Amino acid sequence: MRGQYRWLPIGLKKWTLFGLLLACHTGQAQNTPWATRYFRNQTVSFKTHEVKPFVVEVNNTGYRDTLYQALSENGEPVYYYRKILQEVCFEGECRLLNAYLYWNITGSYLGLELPPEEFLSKSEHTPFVPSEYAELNKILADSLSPLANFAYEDLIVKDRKPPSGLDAVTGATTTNIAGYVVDGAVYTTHTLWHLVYGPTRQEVMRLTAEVLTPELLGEILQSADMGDRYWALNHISHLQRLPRQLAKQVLALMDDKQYNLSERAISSLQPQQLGDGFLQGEIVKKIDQVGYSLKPQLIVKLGEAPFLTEGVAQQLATYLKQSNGKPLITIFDVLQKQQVSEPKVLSIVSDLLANENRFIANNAYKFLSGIAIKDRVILGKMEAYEARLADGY
Amino acid sequence: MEKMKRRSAIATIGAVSLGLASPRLLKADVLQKPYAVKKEILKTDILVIGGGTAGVIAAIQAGRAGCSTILVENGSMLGGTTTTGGVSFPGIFFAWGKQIISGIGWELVQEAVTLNDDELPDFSRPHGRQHWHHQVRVNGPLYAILAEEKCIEAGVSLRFYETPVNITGNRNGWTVTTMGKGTQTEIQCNQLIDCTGNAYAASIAGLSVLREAETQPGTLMFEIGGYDYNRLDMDMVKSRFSEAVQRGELVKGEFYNVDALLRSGGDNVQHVAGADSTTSETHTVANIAGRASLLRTVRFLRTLPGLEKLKILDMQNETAVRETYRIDGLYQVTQEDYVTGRVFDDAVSYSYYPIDLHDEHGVIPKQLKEGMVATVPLRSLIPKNSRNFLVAGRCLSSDRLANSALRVQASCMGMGQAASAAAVLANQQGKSPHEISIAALHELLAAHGAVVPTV
Repeated sequence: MRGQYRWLPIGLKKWTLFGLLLACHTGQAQNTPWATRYFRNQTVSFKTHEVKPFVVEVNNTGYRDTLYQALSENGEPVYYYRKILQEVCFEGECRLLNAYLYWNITGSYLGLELPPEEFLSKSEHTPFVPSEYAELNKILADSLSPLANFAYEDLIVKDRKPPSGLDAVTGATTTNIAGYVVDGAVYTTHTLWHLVYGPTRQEVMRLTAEVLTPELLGEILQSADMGDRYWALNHISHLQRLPRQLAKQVLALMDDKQYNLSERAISSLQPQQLGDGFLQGEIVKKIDQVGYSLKPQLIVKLGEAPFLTEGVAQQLATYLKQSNGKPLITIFDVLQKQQVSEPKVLSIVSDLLANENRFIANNAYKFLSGIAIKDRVILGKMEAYEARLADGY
Repeated sequence: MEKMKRRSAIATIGAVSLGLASPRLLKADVLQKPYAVKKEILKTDILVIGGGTAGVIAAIQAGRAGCSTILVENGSMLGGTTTTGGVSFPGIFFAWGKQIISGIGWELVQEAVTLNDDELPDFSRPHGRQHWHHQVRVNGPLYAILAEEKCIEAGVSLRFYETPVNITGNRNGWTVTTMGKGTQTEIQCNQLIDCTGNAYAASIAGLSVLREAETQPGTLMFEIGGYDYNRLDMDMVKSRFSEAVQRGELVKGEFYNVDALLRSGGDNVQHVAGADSTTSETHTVANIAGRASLLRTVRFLRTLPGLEKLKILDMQNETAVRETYRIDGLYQVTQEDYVTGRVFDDAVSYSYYPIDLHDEHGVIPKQLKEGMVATVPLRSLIPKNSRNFLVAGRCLSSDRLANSALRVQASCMGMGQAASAAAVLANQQGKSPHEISIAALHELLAAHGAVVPTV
């Protein structure tokens, strides 16, 4: 089960039974009469209309499995799942792990479901209690778990390693992962975690990416899960232009409360999208609303635009009046890069030559010196600055 | 094109005719007059002594605020602990999901990260006991160049290879005599900021400084390789290492954890007892001790199975130092202040790091309780009985345990910007830093992007 996978669509149409059963996931255990179910929040809120299966091939083994894609009435992916049948061995005996694993459309873990009469067990075949299922549910949702760095055979300390293929639950769990597994179920936890974050996840993401639309990206951006939002932002760059609604959603993520998310939102904007005057105008407004750390990043984005609208160039120049430090330098860099030489902008900049702060005046002078100025008033201001500089400021 | 041809031709003719006329002049070396030490008198609003973690930020802040600024650094590049010292993970800028240190320090870190295609940690995920998960790694040399560029951009006059030898107060501030390679400079400044990390300038100026009976060890940063850590029999290595320490072949406490040494390849794992960078003499001792320790350990490790080909891949130029002297300030920040997150009335910057005292047993960081963020009061940056004098960096007035957290670079950057902003206002208003309005200081700091503590 650890080889490379390739999924093949086999074209089944309506699996409404699964759709009805899986329509509602709230993050709580669902006590249906037929299954044990533990779920996280679903990325999107669409209702399931049909389920489409894809067949998986495992390289060089010929083994095939099926990945199911739940779809909405509009054909948008809602979630994915897979039936797992895999042996996990412990205390000299092997049990078949018979479960369903669910993924969100961004590849994050969605949930775990066991068929009727099935249960997960620990050492000495003790069944999981509800709190252990809940713990497992939480562990499986941690994409950055240290379990990623542990191979199956490294889960217990060397001197107590059991015979090959047998579980290690009665051996000493290596202390490095003790806090990241369900106590007494090291191998079950490890197996499930690696199934969640194995090749299936990549295929889930690939399948979703194939049908991404601005509307679906907007829906994903509304997810409460930070990982989902990052995923959407990472995929926005593929769009040639940003529809206004989606642009507003991306801009709304730029604030000082979530630095990493803000940074990612800013970097998600691509040059081809920045030719839109609406987007440029919204970015300029945003500069005034965010903290110092994010301001230069927003300004730099405007430098990546294919051109600056006249209004935006003027707004940037106006913003110079209240800027200092990095934002000030960055605005000058952008105005220079965009070859802005509109009279109104130059006039605003020339006023800075008389600024008491020599750092500000000097940067204004450097910018104007790079332009063939013909305006006599501005030339006069530049001469006055030079004279002031010669006098030691 | 025609002009160039003509000019080129004239030059050629000139050379030929000169050669024909006076062949002796073709000889390149010419006897020079003996070098006379260049003596100069300079005037500046603000003088920053020490171009390390705090000094760089202080100088840039002063320049950007419009003050004439000189930065004196006794080494060859800027950045101090982050660059020369090789500790290129300059502390923690976010606490409990919020940015607590921004401004010029973060600007430098962020640019270094971007220009090196590095990734920032996810600050929204709590680091738990592993605070280093929120450390930002930067490319040290790149950081040094960016710092230099920003200083020059801010109009700061850089003076490398110079160190103060005399500091005297006067009616308008301070007169500082520095010695450098072939230079002796008298710098007259209105405000002086000591960013040496060792309160060296304060001491020369006659202000009181304090030192613990036992200081934290220093660390020489290096990189070793030539072995496969995963193939090592670490039980054997640990046992043989311990035996060598007991025999006296290795020095106890130099490498308190051989496993960490081999796993990390030498990243911040060595302890040089008593390392002191205050003077050339003490820093020489610390450097020699650090290098000798590394050589001794490398020789020993190469005798062990699996480590026969171990080699030194890189090494910093000097031993980085954690603790030397601190000023006797208007207020001493205590451990209690630090761990309870006391917000002082004159708080000028935040600090967030566990209490992190290194000793011969290693270090066990004591994490702050959830939600706690310490602050730095302006008074802790002002020596008692001083005028027009500030410090920034690890030599602030603080007790030993508070200092073990405050000394970390991010906090020093915050202090550097705050001290400098205070100096700017004092300079503009003809006051001493302790006399300025805290509200005005907060306003200036906020205008330059610093995160200002609030109650």
